[in-house]
Amino acid sequence: MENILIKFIGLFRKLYESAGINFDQLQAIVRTKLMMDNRRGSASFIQGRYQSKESNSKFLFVLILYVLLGAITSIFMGIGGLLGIAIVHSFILTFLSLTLVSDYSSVLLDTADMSILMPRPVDSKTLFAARLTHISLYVGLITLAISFVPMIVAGVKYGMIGCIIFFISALLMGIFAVFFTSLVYLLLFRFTSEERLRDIINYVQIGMAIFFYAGSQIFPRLFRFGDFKNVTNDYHWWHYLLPPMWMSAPLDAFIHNTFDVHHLILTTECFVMPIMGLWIVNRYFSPYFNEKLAILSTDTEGVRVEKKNETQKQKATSDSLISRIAAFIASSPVENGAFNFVWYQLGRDRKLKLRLYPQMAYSIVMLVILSLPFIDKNDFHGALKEAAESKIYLMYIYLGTSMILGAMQMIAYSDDYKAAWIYYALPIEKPGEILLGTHKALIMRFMTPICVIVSIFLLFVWGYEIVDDLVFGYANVLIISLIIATEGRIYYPFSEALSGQTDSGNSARGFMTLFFFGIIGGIHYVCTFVPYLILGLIPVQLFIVRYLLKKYKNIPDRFISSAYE
Amino acid sequence: MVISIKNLHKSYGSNHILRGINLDVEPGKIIGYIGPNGAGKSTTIKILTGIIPDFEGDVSVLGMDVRENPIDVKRRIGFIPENAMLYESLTPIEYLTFIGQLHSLPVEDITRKSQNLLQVFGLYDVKDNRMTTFSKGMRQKVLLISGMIHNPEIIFLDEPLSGLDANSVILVKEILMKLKEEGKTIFYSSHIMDVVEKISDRIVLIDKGWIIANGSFDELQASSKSSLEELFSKMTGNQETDKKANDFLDALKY
Repeated sequence: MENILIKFIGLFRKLYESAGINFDQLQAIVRTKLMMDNRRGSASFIQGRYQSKESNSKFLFVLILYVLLGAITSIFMGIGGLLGIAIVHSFILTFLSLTLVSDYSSVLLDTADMSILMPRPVDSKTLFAARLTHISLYVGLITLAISFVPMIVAGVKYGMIGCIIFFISALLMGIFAVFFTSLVYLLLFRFTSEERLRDIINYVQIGMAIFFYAGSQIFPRLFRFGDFKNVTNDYHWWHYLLPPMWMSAPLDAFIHNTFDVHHLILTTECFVMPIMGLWIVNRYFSPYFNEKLAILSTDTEGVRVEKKNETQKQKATSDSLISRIAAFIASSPVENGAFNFVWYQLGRDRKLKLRLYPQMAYSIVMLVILSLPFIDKNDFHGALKEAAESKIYLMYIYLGTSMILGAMQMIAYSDDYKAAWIYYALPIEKPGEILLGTHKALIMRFMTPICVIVSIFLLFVWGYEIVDDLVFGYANVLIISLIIATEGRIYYPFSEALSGQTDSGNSARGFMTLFFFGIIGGIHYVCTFVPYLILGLIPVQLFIVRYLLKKYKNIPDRFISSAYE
Repeated sequence: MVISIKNLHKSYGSNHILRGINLDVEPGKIIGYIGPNGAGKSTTIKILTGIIPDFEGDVSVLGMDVRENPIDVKRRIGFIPENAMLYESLTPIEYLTFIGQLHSLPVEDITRKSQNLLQVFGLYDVKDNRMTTFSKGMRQKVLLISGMIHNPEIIFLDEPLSGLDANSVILVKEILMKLKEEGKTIFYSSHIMDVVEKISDRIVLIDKGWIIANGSFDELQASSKSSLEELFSKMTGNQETDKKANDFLDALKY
């Protein structure tokens, strides 16, 4: 892919050279950047999954995904009207901005550039042109990918000219997205520290992963409102503030052959705003960013140490509640140490968060999806009442908490797996205590919050009669998690290299888990028909839990898989 | 003089890093630039290599003002940074080719040269592997090559030996000596005192933004016969190491 793009830039060699730019250097920089884009992929798509395979076409893969996303949005294009086109444009803006935010550090401002390119004889003009070219190609390709199918639809519906108009407005939208993202970053830079900024980027990446998942699940289910074609084109003043409206005006004007004041103003905005935005970024933002970057990349250790202390102090006070909980549920020193260690890692390790939190959100999204059939009905209260008579709440109990198993599996992996030497170097009498502390931290972090939220919701709909079912159900999940923990492959937390993981094995295991939970849920369902059976079973469960905890704690270290040699 | 620094000041906000550095370096010498952490070593090197353009004072390298002609300066010098910062998703060959292209060298020349240089450092077998899997020492070797591939007249090295094994340290030491015989000037900072002691023609010691000693090892030794390590700790006002060591042991006990 790089070669085609490099050839494409080659067409403009004369133009670059006439501007006093060293074209060979520019070509080398752009080629390298594209090559790295293709190996890195998009953080939100690839990192959230498994970065095991070395691939030279990750960016290409991302682009194909965007084409598919664009295909979904083209439905709105088919519906047509100013609003329909505006919706397609708003998708382009959203996708592009989100992508740019999550990939910002490697595309729009790369701190590595400062130390790698700065010592070389590259003048700032060439560097700037190379950066601009790279960003343009990057943004242009994503825009092209998203608007590819809508473009075809536009071409079929409105002819060649319509297609071209749409494409030009889409590209303008791309430029606007760059401005918009830079503005967001400018604000982030202004009000947050570098460390916090990295966290925010991390959350955006997590959000992206969830958004795409939820979108792909929920979006097709929402397609029942074919009727907004009939929305009358009322004009409001705030239309002039909405970028998607600007961008869709030219095509709409062309289709309906209406060139009234409204369309003219919007069309003017369509061309003026992105170009003005680009000018502002270039004139005001870039110097500011460069200055900020210079500060970030030079070592002003003294200043940084001071700042760190501040944030750590804040952390210490907010963590005191959890350390009290830890002291209560994991009382032995080793167990307590493991609990706190895992808890901190879960809150701070960005890559771990990127792997785990989308999963947590997936199970919530699943719950929402499964609830949609109820919400669909016009009579919401009737639907609730109908649900309250069923035993559908069992599904919520089991499904919501099933993600603990995924988290259990993920916790073994880390980029810092080499740090696991401590488990082998320290005189640990009962390795099981470390595993147990880890397990308890996971339960606290992932199962307890979901339990609380789901319980409140269920008690609200079904009332106090289901308290015994809640206890029974959660105890079952706890028992299952402990059985899997003791019987499956056992690892120390964060002790395995990530590359050993395979995607297919994971989803297979996911299905197995669902199947298993289905059976347990079924048994639970049958039990509800025998009065007082569940109440009677709860003490038995307590006994089993106690037994399993003890077994896990005393697990001999030869059962623990070791990657450490 | 290939390097001339006059009254160099640099500060970040209220943080004064350099407070008036004056230094002249004649060609064909190896200069060891030493000092405690945070003394301003890296900042000096970044200013000399034209990376940091805003500072006070006059700095010229190879007779050119680094503020006026940073590109011409960068063309004729080499820089090996301290933190092993490189594009790790590239292979060594790809990375070196890229760097060579930025120096406008023909691609065939770079490839041949890179392969030969990687061979010398024992990295030939991994030349087509991505550097994500490389150890710190391997990355440092790639960085060393990338800083010299264009055959520069002055080479600036910031902690060039960090992460290298004993044999590689000896190899780099030998390379630096040979480069000097060729008439090149070497300006490097290091914490490994016995290496500095052995290969430097001149040792420049800075502390808190000042130069506190400047001369050959023999000159520095003139007052008292001691190793560079002892001189270093004496001059940077850190004579209490013995007391600190005792405090450390006490703290372990209680």
